Amino acid sequence: MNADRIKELLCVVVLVVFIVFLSGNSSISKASGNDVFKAVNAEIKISKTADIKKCNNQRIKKEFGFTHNDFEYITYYASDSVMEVRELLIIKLQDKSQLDSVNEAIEKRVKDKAELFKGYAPEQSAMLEKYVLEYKKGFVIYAVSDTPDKLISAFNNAI
Amino acid sequence: MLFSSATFLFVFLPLVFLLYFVPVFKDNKTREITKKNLVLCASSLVFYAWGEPVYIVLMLISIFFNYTIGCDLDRNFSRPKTRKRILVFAVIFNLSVLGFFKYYGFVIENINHLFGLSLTHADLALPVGISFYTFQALSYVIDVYRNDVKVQKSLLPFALYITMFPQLIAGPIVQYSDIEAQLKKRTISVRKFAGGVLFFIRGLGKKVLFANFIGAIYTDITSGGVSSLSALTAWIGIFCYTMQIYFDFSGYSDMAIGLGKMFGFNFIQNFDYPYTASSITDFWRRWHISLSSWFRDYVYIPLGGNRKGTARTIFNISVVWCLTGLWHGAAWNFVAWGAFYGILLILEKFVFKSLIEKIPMSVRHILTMLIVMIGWVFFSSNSLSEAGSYLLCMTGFGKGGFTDSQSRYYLTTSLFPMLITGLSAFGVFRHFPKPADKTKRLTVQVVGYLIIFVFCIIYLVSETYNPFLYFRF
Repeated sequence: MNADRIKELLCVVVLVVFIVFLSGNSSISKASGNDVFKAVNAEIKISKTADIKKCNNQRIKKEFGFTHNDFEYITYYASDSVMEVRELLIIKLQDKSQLDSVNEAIEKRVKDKAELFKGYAPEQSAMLEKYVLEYKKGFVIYAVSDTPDKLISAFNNAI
Repeated sequence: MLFSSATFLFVFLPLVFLLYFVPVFKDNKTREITKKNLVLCASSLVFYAWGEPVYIVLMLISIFFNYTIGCDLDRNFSRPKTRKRILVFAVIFNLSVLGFFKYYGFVIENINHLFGLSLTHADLALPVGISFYTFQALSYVIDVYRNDVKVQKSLLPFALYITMFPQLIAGPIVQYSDIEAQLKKRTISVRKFAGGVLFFIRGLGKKVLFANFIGAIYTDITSGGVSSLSALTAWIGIFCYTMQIYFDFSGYSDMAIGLGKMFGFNFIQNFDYPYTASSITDFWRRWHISLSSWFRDYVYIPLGGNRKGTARTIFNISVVWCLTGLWHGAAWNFVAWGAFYGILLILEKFVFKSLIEKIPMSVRHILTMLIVMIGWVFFSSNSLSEAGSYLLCMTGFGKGGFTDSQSRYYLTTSLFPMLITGLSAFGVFRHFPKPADKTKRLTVQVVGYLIIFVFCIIYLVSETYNPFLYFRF
């Protein structure tokens, strides 16, 4: 067998090993968006919080610039009241190339909100400072909540 | 990393320019071009790894495999049977990689659906740009087999051909024969660089100022579901999507061509005012030219093209268009979109050819545009059933009737952006008179592009989420 043939077969072997490795360490969770939302909601009960409701696609577009069609799953809970900062956003990305721009958009929103409350609403500012933005296996979670640690733990367990 | 992101424009690109243009081997042109190739190849790998680092392994396997195949084909120059076996092996390898990462889940889900099984599959992320770089690698291997190009004996230029970041993620698909000479020797000049900058800004403007803006209207229209749209709203929506996908994709292509020029490369034009086409055949000569050329050169002509009688030509066209649909995505709506064009092209070629020639040109333009817009319904929908609902709304037989307050709202608020994007896409502005004096013309051009660039930057600073539609292919 000549050197080229050995190199070609080596490529096939490396490819197979790579695929086996990827399949074993799938970079995307099999959990559905709804499952993850339910698990997180069970901890923070955002859907039962007064004033906070599920927002439609137009609101998501307005707040973050996201188009619902760009993702496998997206849900957003927030209040209509300007003084309420608690909110929850869960996204299942179509691919990881979306992650940077999603993170940038969320961080920009947090920064803008923090600017808004700075100086006159200390409670809201303190809560905003503890915002959660995490990525795991295709899912992004962003939340401003009273119990960020519980929320992260529920998110990680659900995926 | 997106071309239209601040990280790319203000950190990555200036750094690459610095490393690329600062001469290291002033007296040795060969070593200097090798250095330039090395800088471009390394920065392309960084660019690719930015989103999903793990898939760089896949790209390196593809580079090394196809490079070796080229050498193997060359070494067996006088053994046609062995060469054929090597080619078949290379094609199977490349298509298997593409098939596994792009279509495996789709195939398993359909098998499960058809036979009531519950086979599982790893839910892997689609490697960005895999459809583009696999087709480029195949173009090289097939061209070497056909003796259309010389084998590339050096790994670096070949790796650069596969990885070059300007066209890596969303094309245009560069055929090896178009770029072979430029990998060894290319003209880098201030004039060419400036031309590249203008191309890049034009593309950025198309994406940021036109596609994002008009796309927001389509998103707004469809965000509440598509089943209850009135006919007029549905037509406004699909017109906006028609404009969005053109400005988004041709904007990306212009940016890629512009970046290529800045680095001294000439890539082929990917769009030629497709919405001014007077027939579907004409449309596909103007839309995503590099993909159509690829399928023509590597599928349609090898299958026999139109040289083996009517029945075989129809078969060949059907194969090409089913593959074109599938290339765009592992979903039935993309297959339907490809089949839609396949059927139209067959009808245009064999049934309505003489009738079409009798139709006045203006009517032909309008008819083509309407058909293209209907085609985009399949493309933009998440499923075939959603496409069906949308098409029903467009006929006026949906729940929303013909017009409603929503359609009147969109008509009054969106008429101006629709008009501007429409006129631009139809190429009306290119016929505007330009100053006869060269200096004046240049001044107008520079000022115009500067204004576009400033507006783009303002938009990018205030809006952070602006992905390209074609990234998912």
